[in-house]
Amino acid sequence: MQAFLQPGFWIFVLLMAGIYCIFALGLQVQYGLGGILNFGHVAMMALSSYTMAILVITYGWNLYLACFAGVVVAGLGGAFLGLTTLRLRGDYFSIVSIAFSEIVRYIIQNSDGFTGGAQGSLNIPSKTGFASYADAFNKVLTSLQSTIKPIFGNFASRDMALLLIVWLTAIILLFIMAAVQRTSWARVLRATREDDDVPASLGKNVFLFRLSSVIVGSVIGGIAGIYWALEFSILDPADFQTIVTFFAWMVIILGGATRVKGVPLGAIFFGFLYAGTRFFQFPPFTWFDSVQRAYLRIMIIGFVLIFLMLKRPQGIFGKREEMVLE
Amino acid sequence: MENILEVKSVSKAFAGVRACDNATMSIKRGSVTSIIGPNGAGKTSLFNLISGAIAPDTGSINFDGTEIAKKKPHQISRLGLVRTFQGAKVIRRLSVMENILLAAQDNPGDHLWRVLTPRVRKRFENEAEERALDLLKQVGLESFVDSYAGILSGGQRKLLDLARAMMANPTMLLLDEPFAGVNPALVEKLVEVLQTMKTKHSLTFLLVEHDLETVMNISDEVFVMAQGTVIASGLPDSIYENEVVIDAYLGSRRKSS
Repeated sequence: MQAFLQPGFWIFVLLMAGIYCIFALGLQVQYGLGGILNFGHVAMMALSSYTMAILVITYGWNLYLACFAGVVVAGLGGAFLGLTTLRLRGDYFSIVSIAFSEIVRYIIQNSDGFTGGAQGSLNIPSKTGFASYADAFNKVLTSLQSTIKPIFGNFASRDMALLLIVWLTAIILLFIMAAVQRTSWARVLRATREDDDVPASLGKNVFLFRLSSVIVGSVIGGIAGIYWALEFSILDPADFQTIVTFFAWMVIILGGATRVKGVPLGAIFFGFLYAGTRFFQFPPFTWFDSVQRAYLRIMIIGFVLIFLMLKRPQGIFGKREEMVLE
Repeated sequence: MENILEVKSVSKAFAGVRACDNATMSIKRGSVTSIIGPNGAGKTSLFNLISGAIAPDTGSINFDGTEIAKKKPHQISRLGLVRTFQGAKVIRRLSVMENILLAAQDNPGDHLWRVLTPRVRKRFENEAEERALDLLKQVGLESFVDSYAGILSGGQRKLLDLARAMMANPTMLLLDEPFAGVNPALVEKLVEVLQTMKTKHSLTFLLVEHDLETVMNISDEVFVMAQGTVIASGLPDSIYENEVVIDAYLGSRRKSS
């Protein structure tokens, strides 16, 4: 109950919601517009964060250059996934995308001398013998912390500083993607989620539209991966399991997949649902021990999702007429 | 009159079944040509071959001086050869206006980086919307502009399909059963629209159709297909007299009457 009352905890929840907001925005471009069921989105987060960490630790790159390279590699990962598998229809693409993200994770987990293997980024080979990539960024956060101190007082923690950066990024990306959704590029994608033949018969190269949406989504997912890495300062292959992709799916389903503005709302809602259920420390929940309660929590999230799907299948902001799955 | 489309000895087999068997036909520029024939004769397969949805095993297809047999649907469409689909495919979850705007050619907004040049996009969209509205008025759907296309009736979908194909600035239109399942009054309307478009934009039409009366009324030339190949062609009147056609398609009822 202690943590429940601490603002620091809720700042952390909001910070993670921001990272999930960016991460899920990448999925929204693919699914909300193109109806592409990508279940391997977490791979883009793994690719960008590990690329960044390896470039900084092993090769001594400048952190920001390495962050940029990480995002580029995530985009390339999306291009590879798209080029090799987007010709498959719907469900088959989904299956391959899960496999893709698992392959990425297993490669990371088993390349000890390169990625640090199962021990995570602390084991990435380094000339100085010191495997940390976030030092330069932590200095920035510390100085930002002192800048915002007059405004936030005691709440001006490291998380608070990062929260501001993450949500600023999220808001910028949301505005960009909202503008993107008003282009005819988005209109063609929305047509392809229903039918390939019509746009093709009108001169649109459907494959290219799909591929570009997967690449854009992967780049955005890669940005989320960078912030994830910066928040935790260490990376562990176990952070990038398929369940993380499904958290992003929950975010866009909760918020309404067909609208950009549904993503931040879904992310905050999901963040509080996921974290908030930690604190069911009153009857009847106290009848169970803590391990049982952990599972109960996942069950409750599941029930809330089912209830929402029954009552409002299009999500909070979605348009029922444009629901992607019927 | 010169030919705008030449299909030469085109064949296509699906797992041994010959959908198109050495089919040959020439379509004259500015004409209305119809393909008739029994179910399974290969009419829609021929359409799919011409529009690039499937690639022929052998043979050549030449459109307006370009060989298109190996081209993809979107490439063929950009050359000005636009098709519609059997049963009128509309994008149900886009509005009527959005459906038509899909067909606007060379839309700068189709390129993602154009998100950075909103003015260029906007100018193009405004002009396209004006044209689209004009086309919607021609087919009488202007009151449905902002409705989802999914709410349209079957006949209205055909009108939308036709208007959308027109929006793509075609020189030739392939219409797959444009009159099927349409009430007589709407058939009249469709024919009227077709004829205005033909004269106004000097279009060439190729139709697959079962409504013989309408076919004979509007066509300059008729091709008859059976078992994947063209068995007869000529002026509408001559088709009624053709013995081969009567056996394969029209049936003996015609013979006695």
